[in-house]
Amino acid sequence: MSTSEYALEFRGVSKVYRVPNSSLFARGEAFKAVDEVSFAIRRGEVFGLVGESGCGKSTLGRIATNLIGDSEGKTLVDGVDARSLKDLSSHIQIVFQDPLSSLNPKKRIGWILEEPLRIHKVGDGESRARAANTMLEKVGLGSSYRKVFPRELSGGQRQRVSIGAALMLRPSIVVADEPVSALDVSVQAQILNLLSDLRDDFGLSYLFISHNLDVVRYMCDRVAVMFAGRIVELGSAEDVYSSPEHPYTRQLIEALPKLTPRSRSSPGGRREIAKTVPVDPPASDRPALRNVSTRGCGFYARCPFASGICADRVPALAKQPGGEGRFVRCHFA
Amino acid sequence: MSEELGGDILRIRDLRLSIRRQDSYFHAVEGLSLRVGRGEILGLVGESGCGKSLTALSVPALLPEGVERTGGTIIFDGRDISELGPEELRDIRGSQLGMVFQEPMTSLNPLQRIGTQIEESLELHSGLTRAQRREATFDMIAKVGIPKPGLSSSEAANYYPHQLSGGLRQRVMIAMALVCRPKLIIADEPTTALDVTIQAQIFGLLRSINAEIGCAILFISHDLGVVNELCDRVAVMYAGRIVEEGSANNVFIHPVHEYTKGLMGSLPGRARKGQRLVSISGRVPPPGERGQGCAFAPRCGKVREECFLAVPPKIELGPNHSASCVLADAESEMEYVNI
Repeated sequence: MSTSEYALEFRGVSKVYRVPNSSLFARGEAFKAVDEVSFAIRRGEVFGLVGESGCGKSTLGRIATNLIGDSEGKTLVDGVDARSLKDLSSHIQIVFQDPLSSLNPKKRIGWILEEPLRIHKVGDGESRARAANTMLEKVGLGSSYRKVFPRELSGGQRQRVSIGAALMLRPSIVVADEPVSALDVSVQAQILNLLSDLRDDFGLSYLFISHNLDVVRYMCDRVAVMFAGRIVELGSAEDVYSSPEHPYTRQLIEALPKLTPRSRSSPGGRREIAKTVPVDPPASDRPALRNVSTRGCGFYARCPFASGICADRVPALAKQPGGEGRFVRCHFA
Repeated sequence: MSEELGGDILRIRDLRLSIRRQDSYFHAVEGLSLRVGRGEILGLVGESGCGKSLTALSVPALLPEGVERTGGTIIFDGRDISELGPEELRDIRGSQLGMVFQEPMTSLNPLQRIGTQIEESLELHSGLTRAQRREATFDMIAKVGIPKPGLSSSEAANYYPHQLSGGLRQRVMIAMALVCRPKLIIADEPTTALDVTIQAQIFGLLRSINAEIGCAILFISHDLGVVNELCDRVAVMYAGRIVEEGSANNVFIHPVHEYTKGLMGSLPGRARKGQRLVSISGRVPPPGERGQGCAFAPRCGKVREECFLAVPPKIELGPNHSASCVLADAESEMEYVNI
């Protein structure tokens, strides 16, 4: 294992997709899914990445694990460029939202867990089986599950298996891409507890990608908020949630359904219509599909405070004087 | 339940829905009773597989093949659903009861303009002229906020579903459900596939429609936060039965059933960082694997012997709060504060 301070580091990472839309011979329109993203995840840190669908958060997770190639900029895993790292999969692993589609339906759980070891020629058959059994205990299933097929498991159990499979090669960082979004709340809690336990057990770092802000606040040390391919705010989870600076972060946090008692002062016990979230022009319903990368702030069209400069110049991700390691991308922050 | 509840738009009593497998039946929903008052927003919460969606589909008699209603009554607007013929049912489905589902793309016709689709139910159920129908459709499009800036409702009506984003498609669904001014809307996880900011907008829309035309909403969700945000009253469902019911504040401030407590404790939004989440061990038993006692007993932290013997009866805990748990009585000493 290398001695780099960071488990995962992005340096000016961009990814351009070409949308094949017009005629057969025309060059498709370029669409920048990830735009100059830079941040670094310390060892043992849980780093959250939040944003709405289409903001580029999953693309970033896939760039880190080399599942998406052809990106610009540099990705360092354990201090080494991911593209030149030979055994990348023993440094970084990914866990997906839907375990049923990422587990081989024709193989038993034991086989699935042993597969990474087989591929990397670690140990012999016996020691691999032992390692798989140990991992099954670690993820709370027990070795009796090695004979079972994925379809025989519940969603939560399957997610335990895919987490176990990701850890077989003892990576230093795991990209968890919406790992609990498909699960019921009671099972979601089990998996979140498991992820915390495993982090302590294996000394893991996580890049935790989610659209669920509550889950991210609970799990993460630091958070980056992403909008239209760019990081718009970054800081400790506590700071970002208690005093969001970027207008988009503020909207996100205000839009969260609260579990606090509702005041029912209005007649009929009905609550006032949410005043904090403006019903914005539906044209911007899906900002990621507009090509926002060329000029101006990506949030311009939806921002209640936007002014002339916002349309013309992309604000820098600027360090904030108050909080430590706090960055906001807004002309008015 | 007494007749004084005559003001209810929907009353379900002892509903039993059974899944037929070869020659045996599994009861997906068993002995479920529920009421929705006129103009009320009721939240039906539960995890996947608890039977909440089947319950919703049983109201307009749209159960999927292989699932049958084998017991209970459903009274919609004073009329027993099972006594209605196909004609009357069709009339209720289109005009008096609207439905909104999770994935709008599967419910919209991809080859028809949205205006045509919204207008269709008016054509079938209202006596309006063509011009009046067009006008009502444009009104509805404006009300749910579909037009883009600089575009009139009549232009927006010419869109096809694939030209719209998920949030806008869901607005089209809501417009379709509302255009005949129904007395009840059944919304089954309508915002689950949407981003939080869009979700907040859809809630604002549902609330304003609820206030404006006074239609009741049966809102089905797995998300307690969402239900607390939107609903007046909440019913918590587990393994085919209602286990706790009451005003949103009562249920969320004083959850009584161990399952409701477990659900609340497992929400990361309520936990402090580093604090372990309360997780309910095990999983929801599928139909056919539920014992004769309380279905939650095998997962319950306070289980007693008697829990396995019979299904606990519903116990009234106070004004607008009830739970089906043998321990409910002991905990009913709580103080109800009006918040």
